[in-house]
Amino acid sequence: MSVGRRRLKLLGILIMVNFFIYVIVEVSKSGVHEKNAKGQVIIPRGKFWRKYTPHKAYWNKQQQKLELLYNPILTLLSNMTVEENVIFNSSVLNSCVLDPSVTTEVSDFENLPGRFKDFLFYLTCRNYSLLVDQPNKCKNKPFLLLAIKSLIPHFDRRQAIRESWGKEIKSKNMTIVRVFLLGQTPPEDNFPDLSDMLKFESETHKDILLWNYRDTFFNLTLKEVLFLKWVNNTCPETQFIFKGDDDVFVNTHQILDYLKSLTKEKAKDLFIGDVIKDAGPHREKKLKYYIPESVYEGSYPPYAGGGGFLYSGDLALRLNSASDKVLLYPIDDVYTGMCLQKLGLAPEKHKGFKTFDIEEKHRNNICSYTNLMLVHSRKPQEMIKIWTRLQDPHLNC
Amino acid sequence: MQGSQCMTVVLALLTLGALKAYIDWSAVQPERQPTSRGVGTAWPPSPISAAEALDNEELGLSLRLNASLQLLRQNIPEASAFWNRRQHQIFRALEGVAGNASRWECGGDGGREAAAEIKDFSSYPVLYQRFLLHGDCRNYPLLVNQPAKCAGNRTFLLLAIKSVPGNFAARQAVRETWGREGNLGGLPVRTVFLLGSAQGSHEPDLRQLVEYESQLFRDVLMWDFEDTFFNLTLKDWLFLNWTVGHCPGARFILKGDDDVFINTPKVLGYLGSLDTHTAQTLYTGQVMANASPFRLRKSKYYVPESFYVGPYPAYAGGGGYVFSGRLVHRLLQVSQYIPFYPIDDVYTGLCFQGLGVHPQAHPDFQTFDIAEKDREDPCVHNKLLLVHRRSPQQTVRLWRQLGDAQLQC
Repeated sequence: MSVGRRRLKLLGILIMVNFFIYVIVEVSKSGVHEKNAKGQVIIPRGKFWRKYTPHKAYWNKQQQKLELLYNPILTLLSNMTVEENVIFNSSVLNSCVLDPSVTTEVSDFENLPGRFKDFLFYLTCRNYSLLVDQPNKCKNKPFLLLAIKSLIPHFDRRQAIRESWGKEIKSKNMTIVRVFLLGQTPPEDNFPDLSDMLKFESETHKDILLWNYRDTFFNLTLKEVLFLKWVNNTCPETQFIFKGDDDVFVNTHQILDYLKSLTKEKAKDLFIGDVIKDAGPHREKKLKYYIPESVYEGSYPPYAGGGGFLYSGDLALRLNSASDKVLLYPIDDVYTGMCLQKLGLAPEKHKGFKTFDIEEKHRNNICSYTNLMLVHSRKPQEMIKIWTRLQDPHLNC
Repeated sequence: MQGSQCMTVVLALLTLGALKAYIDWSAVQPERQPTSRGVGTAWPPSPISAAEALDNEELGLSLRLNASLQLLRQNIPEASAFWNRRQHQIFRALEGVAGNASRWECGGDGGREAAAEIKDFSSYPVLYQRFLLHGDCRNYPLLVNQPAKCAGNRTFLLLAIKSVPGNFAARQAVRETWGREGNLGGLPVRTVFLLGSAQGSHEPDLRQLVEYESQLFRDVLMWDFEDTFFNLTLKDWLFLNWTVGHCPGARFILKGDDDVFINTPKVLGYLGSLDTHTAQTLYTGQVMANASPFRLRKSKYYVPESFYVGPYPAYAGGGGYVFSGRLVHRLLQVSQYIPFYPIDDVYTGLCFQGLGVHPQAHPDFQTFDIAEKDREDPCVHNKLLLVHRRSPQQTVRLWRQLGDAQLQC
């Protein structure tokens, strides 16, 4: 008797549960019903094109103008090819004269920090002369070009790189060359004058590239643009390029192994690093990466962190031409991401790039370094120490 | 009933947590601020007037040296800590044969003996171990010299700036600003930068660059020892030795770091205004009184309990201090009786104590920097003698602002 009642109870509960499930499924079905109606033509409710809305932020506005200039249909209307149009406007495109219009065009120009004022005044200027060149650097068609962003006072970091991961190699089947990318640290900006020392260093090591622009954080983008131009002119046949900071440790062995393992197809469009996606400008004034609303709006394309990334020489040439079509942006790695986007490419994330360092407890363990490609940041002594330990033939990891 | 039991347990746990947080918090001492010791353990000022220790007759010197060394002896506890024991061994030896200087040998077993003597040596930080293993060696060759630095004039102020090979920008900023050599108001000023070796284990090899720099500017002194924090005492000692040989006539010596800002004209004005007696016994800067060793392992200034116990003598902070050139010779003499201490300004303080010279506090030496809002203000710097620390760029900017005829303060 009691067994029978219990079964009945269980049955009742099961029926109730089933009923609830039925109701829930039906309700949720009816929610998506109209979108998935079988056999019906989907008629969009809104417009499927985007209306031209002029941007408010200055950079976006100027970039839009630049894009119109490169628009083949629009240029056709004025009976010109894109090339002709660009040449026609070249005085405006590459002007190195202070642009007074920014004071009125940027809504809160007066309140911007000085570094933004400088940047905006000379937004179009990218024509700076090369003061120290290494014209024969790539005459052996290097496999890998190491390009290291440095500052004039960092003599010790450069020397540590020369003695560790940045060694140049010239053998029959493999050539690695190294350049340091420098701008000016002029007395007007209160820098002590180290030009004599730099000249001596450059004559000794023949690995310095120095351009005639002020080496500030925002001008790292100039450094990028000028470097791409240099590759185009002086090192177009390099197979791969590593570009990074002078305070990173790079496991060059690991990079070479990786590059050798690539298929031809993959190698052509290679661009790997520590990729940051779905990022946008920082709006806190105190941050180094702060960008005001009046300067830029919108999000950032995927980009590889500027601590270091690896790409193909072929891509560098394409990036160089793409960079003409992208206005200078104050943050260099975002700028490179923008240029890649122009080419219809995106950087690929590789877990060997540790631009935010590895866990502290692993930093003294040499085996943490055997499989990575890059780690930020390391002091000169640490670079040499890690490199020396990696060379140990008895290393057992 | 059960509820109140739970409450009790939770309350007890919370109390324990709060107690632990409080203990952690109170154990964190501010870095390098002199910690006050209990009354009685503080170091009493020297009863011997400085002038007494400085009478020129060589005969009385060792006696007087003994007198002030005796005072030093009273102030260093006879504890089992390594440095205390060594110092007292020397004091006892002094009792036997007066004036018999200790031998500071190189390449002997001193280092290994020290290591064996200290029970917890293996738990010392690596740099500390290296400091001890070097033993007593004070003899390191001078690789780059400037033998003519003080030739041809009676140097009024010798600026001796502690630097490390990689700090090219800091040195250049000093050269272009407050460290510029010349005769300011008829007072000859000379500058030397004190460096250890520009190569070493895992150090980038900067020898060529430093040599080139020294040819260009003739102001680099470089010795063949590893340029580490614990070797600053050695650097100081080697510099004193160099001064005796190459710049014995310097009236005043300002020893400082390469990241300080010095208002040189004001320093010269101050030194020029001193009366003869004060000038001859000068040892002034920002004085740390009643300080004692740091026991936090993470601190740069950490001193293990098994290495030294006891208070520190009053000493002038190593960021920058001035002393009379006449004292150099004596300092070297007294340093023969005092084993190296890993923290250079404390060692200098010990040596001055051994001479019976007490540091005079000067309010315009700001080695812990000034209020943040004043750090860019040239008018505030116009009143100071020395402030720590400024970047090369800040140094150049401040110097320009101070030199500007339109500056109104």
